[in-house]
Amino acid sequence: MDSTPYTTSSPAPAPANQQATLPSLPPELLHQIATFLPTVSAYFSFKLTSRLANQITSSPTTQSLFLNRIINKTSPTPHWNYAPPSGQPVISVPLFASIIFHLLSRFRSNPYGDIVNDLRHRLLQRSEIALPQVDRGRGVRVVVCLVYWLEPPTMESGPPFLVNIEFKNLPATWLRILLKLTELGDTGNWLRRVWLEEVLEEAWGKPDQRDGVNSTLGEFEDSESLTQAWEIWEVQTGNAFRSSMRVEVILESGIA
Amino acid sequence: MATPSTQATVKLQSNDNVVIEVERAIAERSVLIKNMLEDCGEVTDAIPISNVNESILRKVIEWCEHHKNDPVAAENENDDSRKKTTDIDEWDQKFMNVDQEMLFEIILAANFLDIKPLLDTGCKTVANMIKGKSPEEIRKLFNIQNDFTPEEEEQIRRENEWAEDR
Repeated sequence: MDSTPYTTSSPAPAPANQQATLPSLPPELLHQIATFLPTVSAYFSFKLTSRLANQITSSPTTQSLFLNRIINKTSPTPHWNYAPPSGQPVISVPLFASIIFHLLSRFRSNPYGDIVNDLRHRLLQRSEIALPQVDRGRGVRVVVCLVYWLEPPTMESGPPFLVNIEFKNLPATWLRILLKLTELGDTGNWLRRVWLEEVLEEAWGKPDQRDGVNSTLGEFEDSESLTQAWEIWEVQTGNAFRSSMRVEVILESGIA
Repeated sequence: MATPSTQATVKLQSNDNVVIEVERAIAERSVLIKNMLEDCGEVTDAIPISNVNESILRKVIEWCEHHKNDPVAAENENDDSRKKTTDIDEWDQKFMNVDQEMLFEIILAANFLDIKPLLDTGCKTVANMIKGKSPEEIRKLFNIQNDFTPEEEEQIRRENEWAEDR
């Protein structure tokens, strides 16, 4: 390439340059940077830097694009932490957050198959029971998400088999997702509202149309089945957790 | 639309009035320039790149030259392919190893010239710089003014602490 500089015959003065900085970038570029943030914790750290960053990262479009990138990373490894100092099997919070946000961001568009496939890919290949846990050091805290498959799918059917299958068409006994959220304040209320009002209705229809579904979900409504789920987890992890945990069952209301 | 031109090079004029002659194929990594050339046909005058100074323009041309043989993503598959990864290849990492001002100038130039892969690389570079840092560290790194009231900041922290790494 010939990159010899020429001088124009009628040079015009160059405009005075303002120094380019991150805060000086137009919002659409900040949005794009946010969507490329490599972890959920980076996303929330950026959110906390300024009002503009908070506004940008709170945009549903930005969140959705960000989560698509996170979820579509081919290797789940960076999101897992199997050997914390305590020796407890803990799934890292970014993975938990990405699951939650992914679920929420995708429910409206109804690609339940993608969600289930992704959850299976990230969780089921490692364990039939996965429990992200956040312990704030103030007693047992706060956010617990249990993704619990009673009957794992046959692996022979391959990863794509769930794609584009609507959630309501999955065998009722195949998958249980139980989310327990306590002490999350507005975020918890929001998650709960989204789950109950959107997910249940979109996936299974109005309460009076949920033939065959109530019994499935009902297994997790009563304390006995919840206790059983916790006991399975405790046995597998050797962690006595249940006795000091405040439990709020997300599925306890809103089902006919 | 004008008849397609066969000219091998085009001249680009930076906003500090330096004209740089580049291969047309390299210049056409910029969708803005490509569309302009398609619309205008043969262009003998230098094309003014009004938002980009010489040093940044040379840097952008360097990137375009290195990536001149990369496949150009079709418009409709662009978002899908771009969302798949946040990785940056080794050459691009070295290319983006510049001071912050130049990094953001490159991002602005890529945005202005409509060179999406370069824009993505720049944005990924900034995103990776944020990784592993606290909000305070990010503010310090990028000179971001904390305009939250203490109450606002505390509320947002409370709402989002469940997603923090601890």
